Amino acid sequence: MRKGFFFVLPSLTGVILFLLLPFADVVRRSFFDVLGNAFVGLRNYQTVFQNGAFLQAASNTLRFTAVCIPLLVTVSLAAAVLLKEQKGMGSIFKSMYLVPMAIPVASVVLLWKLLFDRSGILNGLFSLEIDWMNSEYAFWVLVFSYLWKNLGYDVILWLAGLAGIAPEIYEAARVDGAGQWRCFFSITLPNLLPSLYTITVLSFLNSFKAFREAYLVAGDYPHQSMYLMQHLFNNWFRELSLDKLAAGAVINAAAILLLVMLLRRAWEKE
Amino acid sequence: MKGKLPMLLLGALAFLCCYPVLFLLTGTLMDNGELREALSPVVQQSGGAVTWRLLPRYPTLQHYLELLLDEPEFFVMFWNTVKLTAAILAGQFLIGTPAAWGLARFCFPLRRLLSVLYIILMMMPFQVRMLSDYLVLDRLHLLDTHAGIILPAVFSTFPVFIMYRFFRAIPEAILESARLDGAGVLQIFFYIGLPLGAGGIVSALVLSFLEYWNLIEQPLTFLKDKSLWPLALYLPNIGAEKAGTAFVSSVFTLAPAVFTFLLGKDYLEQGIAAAAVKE
Amino acid sequence: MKRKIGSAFAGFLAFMLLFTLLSRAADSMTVARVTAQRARKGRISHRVSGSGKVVQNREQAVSTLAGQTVKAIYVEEGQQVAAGDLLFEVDLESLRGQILEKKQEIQIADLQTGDKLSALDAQKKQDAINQSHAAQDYAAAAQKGGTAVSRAKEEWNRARKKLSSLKEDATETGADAVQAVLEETCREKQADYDLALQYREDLEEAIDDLVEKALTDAQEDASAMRANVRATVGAQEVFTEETPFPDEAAQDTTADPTLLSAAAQTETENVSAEPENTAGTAQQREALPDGQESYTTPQTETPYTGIPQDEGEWIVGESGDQSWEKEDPWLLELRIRQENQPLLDAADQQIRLLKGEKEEADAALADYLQKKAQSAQMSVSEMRRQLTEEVRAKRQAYEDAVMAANDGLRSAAQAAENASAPKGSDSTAEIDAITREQKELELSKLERLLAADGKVTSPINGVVLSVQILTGEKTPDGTAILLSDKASGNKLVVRVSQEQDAYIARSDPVTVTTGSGKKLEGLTVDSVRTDEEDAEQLDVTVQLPADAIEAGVSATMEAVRDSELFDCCIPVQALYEDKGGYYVFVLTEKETVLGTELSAQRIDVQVLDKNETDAALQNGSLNGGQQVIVASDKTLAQGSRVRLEQ
Repeated sequence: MRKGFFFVLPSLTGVILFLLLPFADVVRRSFFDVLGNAFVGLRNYQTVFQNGAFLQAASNTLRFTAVCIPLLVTVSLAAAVLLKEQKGMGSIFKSMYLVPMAIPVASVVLLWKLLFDRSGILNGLFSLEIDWMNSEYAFWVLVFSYLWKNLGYDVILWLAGLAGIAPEIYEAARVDGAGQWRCFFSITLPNLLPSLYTITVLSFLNSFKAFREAYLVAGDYPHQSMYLMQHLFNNWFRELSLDKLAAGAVINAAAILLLVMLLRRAWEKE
Repeated sequence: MKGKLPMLLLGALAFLCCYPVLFLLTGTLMDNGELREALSPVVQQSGGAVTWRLLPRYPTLQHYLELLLDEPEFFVMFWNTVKLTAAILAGQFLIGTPAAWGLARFCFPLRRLLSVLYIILMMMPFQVRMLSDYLVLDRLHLLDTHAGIILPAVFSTFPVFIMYRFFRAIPEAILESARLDGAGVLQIFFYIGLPLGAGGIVSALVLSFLEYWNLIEQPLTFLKDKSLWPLALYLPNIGAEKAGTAFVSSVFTLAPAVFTFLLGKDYLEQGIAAAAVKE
Repeated sequence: MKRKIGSAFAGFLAFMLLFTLLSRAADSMTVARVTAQRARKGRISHRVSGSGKVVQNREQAVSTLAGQTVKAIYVEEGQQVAAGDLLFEVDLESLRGQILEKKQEIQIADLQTGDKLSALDAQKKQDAINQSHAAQDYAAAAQKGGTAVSRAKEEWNRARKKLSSLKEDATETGADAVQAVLEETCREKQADYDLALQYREDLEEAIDDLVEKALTDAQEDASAMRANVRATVGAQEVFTEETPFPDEAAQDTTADPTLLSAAAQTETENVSAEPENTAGTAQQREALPDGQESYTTPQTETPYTGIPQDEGEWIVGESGDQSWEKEDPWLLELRIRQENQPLLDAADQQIRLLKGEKEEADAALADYLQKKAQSAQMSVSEMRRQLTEEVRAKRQAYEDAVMAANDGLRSAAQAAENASAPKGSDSTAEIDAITREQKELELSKLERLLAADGKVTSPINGVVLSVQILTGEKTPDGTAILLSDKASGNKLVVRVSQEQDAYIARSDPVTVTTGSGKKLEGLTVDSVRTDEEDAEQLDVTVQLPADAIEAGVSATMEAVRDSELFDCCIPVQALYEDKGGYYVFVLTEKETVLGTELSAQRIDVQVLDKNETDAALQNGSLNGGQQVIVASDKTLAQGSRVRLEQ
């Protein structure tokens, strides 16, 4: 069955050419100086880890991930469970939750700007005096925008997971006299654990795209609470700090790989 | 109670998700005076707060005409976006479908390793790929060209992953009977694999469309020539003083995404769901 | 459903495609299409041109006496005439009428002069009489006053003597004294009476003397005046003969109107002050306008400056009793005698008075003698008191007499002074003479015109420039026909705008072209002057070679002046003006979303020189490579997108 390899070959060639080889070069570069000639060992990594901006961006990104993913997973799960109960309106709502995915980032940026300005709609509506984009709240604005955008996606994922649970189990439980909450905790949650891994990973993947909103609303240098890794890399790129960029990319890749592996390990233990 | 409250909550959530569309449509129909009045706190820092009507007071199509007739730049951007998206989708279809088929339906050495590699690569955000993309595009002299955006996107592994899931779902028995009937490898791919995996292909393409229609990071990094920019970069550059034009541009940006969404809604759900199902 | 959405999506893309094309089309319609070129080296030539008429260098005016009726005109404007050619003719009938009128005026003036002479005679005589009267009055007053004073003094002395004698004869009887006084009084009265008689005789004698003297004086004055008149007439004749009246001079001379009118006024007043005694008054009045006209003949202006304007003197001459005009010597005598009659009458009165007094005194003496006879004895003291009183009274009378004498003397002296006061000079005669002279001059001119049968001819060879008279109308005071002198050559006068001042000057080379295409090159500008009528215009004069172009022909002149070589010349239509400065638009390339586009960039420039087609800019205003927009189908502004027309 070697023929199968030829189906993969075009894609693999591209992947190797455009992804693997360049990344190998990046890894190599991370041990060299800016011009890629002199070997400098781990100095680049040292520089990066001592870089305030990198630490800031890394902690922001981690914080963001740590806040967003559980929040999104919980909210979408709740929505999915509720939605499953609904019959008629269910599918309509389901489609409506997906609308934010379709709305181009650029289109909502205008709304975001008006909504979260110091004299914007939100402050006007609740008589607040918060400068959302230029304070700690900027982080939460980013969280909100991420939730809004990915809710539908996760709801669909949860619904798929829920659909995988055989209705007979619930019937048997009810026969045994289990209540609604008990059914949820004893049957639904355990059966959804396989999905949790995928959903978390996909949510993690999508969390990187929150940069788009942050960038379009606040530009290259937003409030520090929403200064993400992508901002930093963009700025390094503009400055042509290729050495730092290389080291940073390797660190990022390693971190992501580690995270995914850890999740996978946890998932496979079940 | 049991039926009402969740319903209400879900309804509110649904409204929240869709409100931006309504907001944009309202904005496009307002005349300049009303827009200026509504936006003056933000645009001119004139104090007070922005207030927004649900419906415009004096609806007008003026901004639509202005954009359609007076803004040739908008069309340049629009067609840039169409070109990029169409090319990427076509490439992903041509490259990704066989790869997904090959990984899903054949046994060959390193197959499992490749699958894992593809999934890992799928996970990597742009910030990781940024420098490597730059290095390869620089070497191939593809910087500041549309090809420089299209080619790396074509070899994205995410659609392969989605299609892989769908192709895996095709029962082995069907393929087996075909093989017994003497069908070749390619015949099986074209006559059984593609039709049966159509849902997966479509859902992968719909997801890709929504992704690449909104592409920001790559053009921002690799395209210096503004005439090559996609809409997503052009829109935020419209000043607040031309808010009407900005709203209409947003609506025109939104339209193809909405069409795609409506067309591929069911596949989209399947596509998303496909990832969740445990192998 | 899916199909519908699919086709709607396709429709949407088609719709976008359509509007892409439409907006492109709309965009290209709004883009200005321009032509551009680079700045180049060049000269800016300034062309000054204009057209005008060729005129003669010298003009000559032909004129005739004013107020003549034009009978026929023989030339028209532009006609060539030779010296002696008939120009026009005046009506002889009206000319003759005017001559007759002038002659009559002269006659009237002569008659008036005679009248004035005789009146003057009479006045002189009257003056003399007045003078002698005053002198006599003075003498008489002095005499009379002296007599009265001495008499009063005598009386006073006598009264004192009487008083003293009374004192001496205090012891004596005063009867004799009284008688003596009375007798003395009687004697005095007799003496007074005699004196009065004597005075009357003297008076009569004096009157006779005066008459005789006055007659003699009058005769002398009259003869002197006649001699004067004769002398002026003689002078005038001489003047008339020596100064013939030249036609041309008449045109050039202009009389001072104020002076003339003043003179005319004097004349008018003289005439109106004339007594109405003569038969020629009406005629004189009619002649007056002519008399005034006569002053417009300018030759006579100078003599008039010396005219004494004191008309009062003339009137004084006439202010005497008018019945004494034409007085004969006997009448004069009678008049003097009548005038002195009051004096005689007074003397008679005095005589009568004194006679009465004498008789009274005689009566008193007789009365006293009678009283004495009646032997009324008067006490001495009474007598003394009376005498003292008398002395005081006499003294008073004496003082009064002295005072009266002084008064009389003073007034008589004044009268004498008045009578002999000098009377200003009198130029009536001279004025009359001059008036007559003028009239004769006019007459001679008229007669000369008549002698030429009323024909006026051209004095020179030339071209008729303008005819100022009309057939049947009166000739004007000034030019009748204007001629240009052929002998002095032609010139071209062209009017150009004042702005051209910088580009044309004396001795610039010019080319002159006539309407018929004749071209003269190598001429130079003779003069450039501001036009007299319009300060915005310049008169450029070009002297033409003799006989090159006829006078009256219209021609154009053109002068071209080249500037230095400029490095940066652009067509003048590329230049825009704003707030006193100049700017141009240059093409700049701009990278936009729609590709490379051209736009107009405004650049302020310094203009060194320019004419109708080109402008020279300060070096460095533009870069060498910059293309200047020279034409555009739309109004440009800074940053306007443009499209280069190929």
